[in-house]
Amino acid sequence: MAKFGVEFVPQDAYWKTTYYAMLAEKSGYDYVWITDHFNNRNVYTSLATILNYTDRVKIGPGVTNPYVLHPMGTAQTMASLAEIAPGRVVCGIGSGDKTTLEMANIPHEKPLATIREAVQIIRDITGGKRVNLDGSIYKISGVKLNFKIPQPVPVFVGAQGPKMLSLAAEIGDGVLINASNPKDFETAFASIDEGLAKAGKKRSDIEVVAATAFSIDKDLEKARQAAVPVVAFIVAGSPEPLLQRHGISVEAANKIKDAIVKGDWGNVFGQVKPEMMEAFSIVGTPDVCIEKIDRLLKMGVTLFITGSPIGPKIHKSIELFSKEVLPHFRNQ
Amino acid sequence: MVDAENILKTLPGSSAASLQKGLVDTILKSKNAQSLPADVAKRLLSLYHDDQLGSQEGLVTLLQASVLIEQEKTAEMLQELGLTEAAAKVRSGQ
Repeated sequence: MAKFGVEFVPQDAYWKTTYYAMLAEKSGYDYVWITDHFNNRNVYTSLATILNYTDRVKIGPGVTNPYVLHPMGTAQTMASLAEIAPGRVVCGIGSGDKTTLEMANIPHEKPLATIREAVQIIRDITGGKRVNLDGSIYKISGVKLNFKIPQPVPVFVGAQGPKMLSLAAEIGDGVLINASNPKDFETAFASIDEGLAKAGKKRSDIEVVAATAFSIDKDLEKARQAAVPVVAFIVAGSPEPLLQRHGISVEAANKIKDAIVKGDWGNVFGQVKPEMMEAFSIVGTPDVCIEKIDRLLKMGVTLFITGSPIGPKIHKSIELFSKEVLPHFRNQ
Repeated sequence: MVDAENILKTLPGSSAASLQKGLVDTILKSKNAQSLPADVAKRLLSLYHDDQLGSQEGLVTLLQASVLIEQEKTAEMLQELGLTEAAAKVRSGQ
């Protein structure tokens, strides 16, 4: 059966994000993911609080990166969280956002090797092993936690490009794909299958996660309006091949990027065209969302995440999703 | 400081569900969420965890929270629900 998750950006007061996470659990979601950006509330503080106020839902960073926090620190944090809620903690990790890392003068070097070694470190340390690693990125000797957790923390790897998608499938318990459109999943699955073959694994051995830009409302226009800013940032940050795949010109993307740099928000949002919304988000009324989710699930997605903005009013959209979308898939 | 307990005593029991919904909407829409005192926030989360926001204690906490971060909007919401006297008390801070 398909699983469903929700992603929250901890930009609101901690109690509000916690309330939303509790609402998601009560509404039937299986996973809650909290994004990790230096300018918002700390992801692990948010997760610890949420774990204390929830009972069933699985929770993790969606996603952290190995550049800001050494994977040894991530492993220690994940193990500490797993002590609060055994079996409910997952680790989402990706190579991070280059622009954000540059702001802190952190080099974004060798992402593939860094992720490969970081995942090994996190898995081994949370699995209670003493870690000795003479890697190309990390050199670790004799590191071990002095407390135990019942089982290693599953590691989901965030990926977009073909090499990272392949690696994610090879080494991860799940592949987190930041995409909303079937065209991107068609391409992604080719790389995922390649990675699975390398590891001698099957599709059923991993979770394939669609981390979507999502917006639901009974009023289509309201749902659309809520997603426009998110789509604007996705378009502005997308590489050329991805834009081309969706028939979006680099010039159109650059216009949005320039307007963002100038802070000309009216112009930013005015430049977001219907084809951009279609390419980079799932937006609509419950019926439309069901149809689009169904298509991704049929392609092989096993865990669907309703990511930012979720809807014009987060709590209303979670309730609507729970009442009119989830039952469609739960009753299948 | 509004006496939330006293205000709630004057309301008909039949208004509890719509009041709860209105108060939750008001606090979640608020841009002043950060100014909610830590003790009220914790109480609110505990009551929600235990599915007790609709209880007397839950409604008192919701009303306190709502007035603390959105006094005027709380009064407007009460007015819309036809709870005129409660709205007036919230506005006057009683």
